[in-house]
Amino acid sequence: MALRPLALGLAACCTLNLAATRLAPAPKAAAAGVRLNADSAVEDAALLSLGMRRMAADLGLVRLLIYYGTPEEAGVVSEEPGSHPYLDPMHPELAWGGGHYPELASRAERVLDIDPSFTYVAIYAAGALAFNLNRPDQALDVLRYAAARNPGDVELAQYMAAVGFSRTGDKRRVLRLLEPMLSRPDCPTMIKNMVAYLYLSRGDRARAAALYREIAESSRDPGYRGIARMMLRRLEAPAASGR
Amino acid sequence: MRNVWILARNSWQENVRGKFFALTVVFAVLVLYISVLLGALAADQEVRVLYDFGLSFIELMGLAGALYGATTVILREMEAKTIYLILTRPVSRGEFLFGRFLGLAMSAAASMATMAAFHLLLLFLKGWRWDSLYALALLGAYLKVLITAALAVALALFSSSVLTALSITLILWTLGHFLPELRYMIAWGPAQWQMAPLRALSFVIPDLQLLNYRDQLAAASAQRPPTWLAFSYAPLYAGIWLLIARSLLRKKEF
Repeated sequence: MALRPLALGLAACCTLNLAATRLAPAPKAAAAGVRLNADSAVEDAALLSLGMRRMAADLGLVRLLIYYGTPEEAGVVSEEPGSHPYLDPMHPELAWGGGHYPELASRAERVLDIDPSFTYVAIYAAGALAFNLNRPDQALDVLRYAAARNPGDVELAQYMAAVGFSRTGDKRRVLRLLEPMLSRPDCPTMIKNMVAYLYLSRGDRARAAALYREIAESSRDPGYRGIARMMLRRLEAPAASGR
Repeated sequence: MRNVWILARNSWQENVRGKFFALTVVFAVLVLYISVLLGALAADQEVRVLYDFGLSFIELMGLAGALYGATTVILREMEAKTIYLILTRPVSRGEFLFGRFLGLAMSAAASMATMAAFHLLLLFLKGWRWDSLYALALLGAYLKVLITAALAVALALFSSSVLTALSITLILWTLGHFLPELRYMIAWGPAQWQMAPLRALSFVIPDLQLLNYRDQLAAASAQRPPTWLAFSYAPLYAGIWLLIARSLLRKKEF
């Protein structure tokens, strides 16, 4: 007795869904699908099934930041809470002194699989790989991965060029390509720190100080805030003016 | 219509005095706690993470409250026999159902709006600037909750079991978010006859991805489904399930 209205209702649902599919065809799913990390596969799958793709990507980013912020060697301790333990603020382009972080690129790519438009992850991971870990080829791979999912993203292209020039040691061109990224609202503090260092290395102390001041006042990363404050103290010290 | 409104107001008052606003307080405390944690964990992306977590929790809390209300609203009155008091008056079963559902929808709206106000306050405190896409995402979440509540009312009446209705509704909620992937599987999967049951299912389950603006915020507007389509799909789909529920209630023997 209850089956007739149910059957009619289901037929109406079919008609409605068919009409919706015709009017707004779903974007074709990526043939590669979504790669889930073994550590968080259940959690990611649960969030995706609840329609919370962005939240799954956010958690992926938090995991990536924790991974990159944790010393690989026992006994390496960061001076500033939250800062990267290997960071040498005076030479951020050369070496952080240690650390390999072999999963950095793959973790960033997995976040991009979940939310392809989350280009911040690509820029952050590529920055770390190219300028801190001295692996520009891997950085370019991450950026290409993001660019393939965001065709037409000019900033990604610029960033790829900057990483490319960093390999040849052309700091002037790297700076010219990175500068426009500073206006991006979600420009990673790591990039700002790198640009400030590049200003400093070419003698532009005023711009470097302005950028360090911005980092010290507005960055949400306590590690980089500490570095910026230290650099400002050095720049403003009387002895520094003679250098 | 007057009967529907009286029943809706009554249902709304009951809900607001009870579980709905208790859930809101729980949510508020949770978000505060999470926002403090995320400040340290997400660094540059703190606002995005707070934004996404907040919207997701608002949807989940709204869903939890609406599902509980939808599966128990009629069955509880049938068990307590209070439904007789209403139906002996000049109130049709359809009016009773629509009145109760309207009250539930109003309660869900009030609950989600309160949570959103608190969430917005936190976002503004963290330096976020207003973006109209937030309203679109919130409205999409509310419509998803309404669709699911309508489904739950019909399933509760069909199965006469709160647990069964809850379980099936949650499965449909999950499948509704996987619909694009299901369609992809159907198109590219093995032999078509093997896919026939899945194809039939894909035409019945609600297309919740159509309303999932929260996950489509960063996509270019051309890639998002047209707003008019999403916002007309939701009331139509919910309406179909409410009509099914009305037919089931009319034939129900107490």
